[in-house]
Amino acid sequence: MTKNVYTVGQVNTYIKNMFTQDFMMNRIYVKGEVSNCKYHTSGHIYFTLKDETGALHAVLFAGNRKGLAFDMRNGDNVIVLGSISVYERDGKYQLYAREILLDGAGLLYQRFEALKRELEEMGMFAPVYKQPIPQYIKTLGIVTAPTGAAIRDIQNITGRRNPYVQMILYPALVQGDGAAASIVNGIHALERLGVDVMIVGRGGGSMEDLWAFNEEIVARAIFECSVPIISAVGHETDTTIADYVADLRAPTPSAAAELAVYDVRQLQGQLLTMQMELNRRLGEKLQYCREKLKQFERNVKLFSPENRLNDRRQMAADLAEKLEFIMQQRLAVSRHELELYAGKLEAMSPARKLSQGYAFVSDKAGRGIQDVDNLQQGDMLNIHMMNGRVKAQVYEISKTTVVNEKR
Amino acid sequence: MGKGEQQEASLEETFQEISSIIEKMQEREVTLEESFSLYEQGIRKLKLCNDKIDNVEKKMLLLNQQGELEAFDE
Repeated sequence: MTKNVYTVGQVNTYIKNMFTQDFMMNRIYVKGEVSNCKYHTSGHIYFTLKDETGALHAVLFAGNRKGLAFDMRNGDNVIVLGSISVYERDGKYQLYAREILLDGAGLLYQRFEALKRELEEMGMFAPVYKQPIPQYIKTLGIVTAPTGAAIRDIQNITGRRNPYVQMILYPALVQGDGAAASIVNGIHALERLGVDVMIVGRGGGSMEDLWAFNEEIVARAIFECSVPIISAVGHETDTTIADYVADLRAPTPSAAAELAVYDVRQLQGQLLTMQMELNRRLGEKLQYCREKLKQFERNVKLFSPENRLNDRRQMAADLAEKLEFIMQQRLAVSRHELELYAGKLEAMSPARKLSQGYAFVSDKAGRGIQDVDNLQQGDMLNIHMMNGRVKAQVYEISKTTVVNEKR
Repeated sequence: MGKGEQQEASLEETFQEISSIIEKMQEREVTLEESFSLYEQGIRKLKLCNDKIDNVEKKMLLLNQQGELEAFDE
């Protein structure tokens, strides 16, 4: 069997991977005493952490300098948050620091863990005690410092989302001596005043800065408060006891304002939509009823006596028209007949005879005279001719014997 | 814990009520008179919601140690 032989680089890379893949090595708190502390001109700080048993090389790069809030000296007892990895060039592992706290803070951290455990066991973090945050609030209580980013952020967000919400600030001391008591007073004062929701918090800072929010009296005040409380302490990565016990935890003060204050424009839009919906529904109902009504109206009309009456009226009108037509026809026939008779009559008119040289003789009374026996000498006669009349007197009468007439 | 019961309906509750009114209006069996009264109720509740918003811009107040409210000026 051939033995596997590796290069130094391969081994170092392999070991580095082991560190990288180890979850615990990526985020670890290490405590110890500082020695060999060197502030490099590049801004990096190289130092060694040691205790009775040994030493650990450490470096804080210039980019992480904000993680060191004090002037670190040899001999300081510190707690370093960072990751442990391999520096391949030297073949040594070291602690890459992100945050360095004096060990006083280390004690704080232990106290934090102890209190957290204790309160958790008492059930103070239990979801069953979390009060719901009302969706539509009118007053917002704020317990924070009157100066600083937190109050400004809350003010800005609230003003933007809903300028009609009344903010009431209890100006609290949020760090240093008396901070915890001040926060507790603020919670109590706003609870007495009767706000709808409370935001309790502050902007970012070191663990010592945020410490008031890890005090038991603050935790209890939050737990016991009848007004729902949103905690907003520091940045997203900072978690305090207050956050655990609050009804809702916001990662930042801005986020707390977003959670506490509803967007008034959105609500107004919703109201408008509902109103339109109501109008539409009523309109539909009315339309439906109108249609129904029309339908009934049609039915009623169809069977109404008036409708039948109209039928009869129509019938009568039709008949009258027919009658009229027939009458007219009848009249036309008669008129024609009349013309025929008139023609015939004309042909037989005495006037026609007169035009042929005949005359009509009548007595004084206008009666036609046909018989000479009815006349005596001296009688007055009227002789009608075609274009006039002559008055005459009988001068002589001579009778003609008409033989064949006697037969 | 737990606040005393609120004497008047919250916006959420009113919204619920309006929603059920809207739903009811859709039903065919509801008479026209009922529809009108439902509509009236709905509009009244909407107005209530609008009133609740109380469109008056508010300045932040400061609660001082004496428990009094005063204007907050930065």
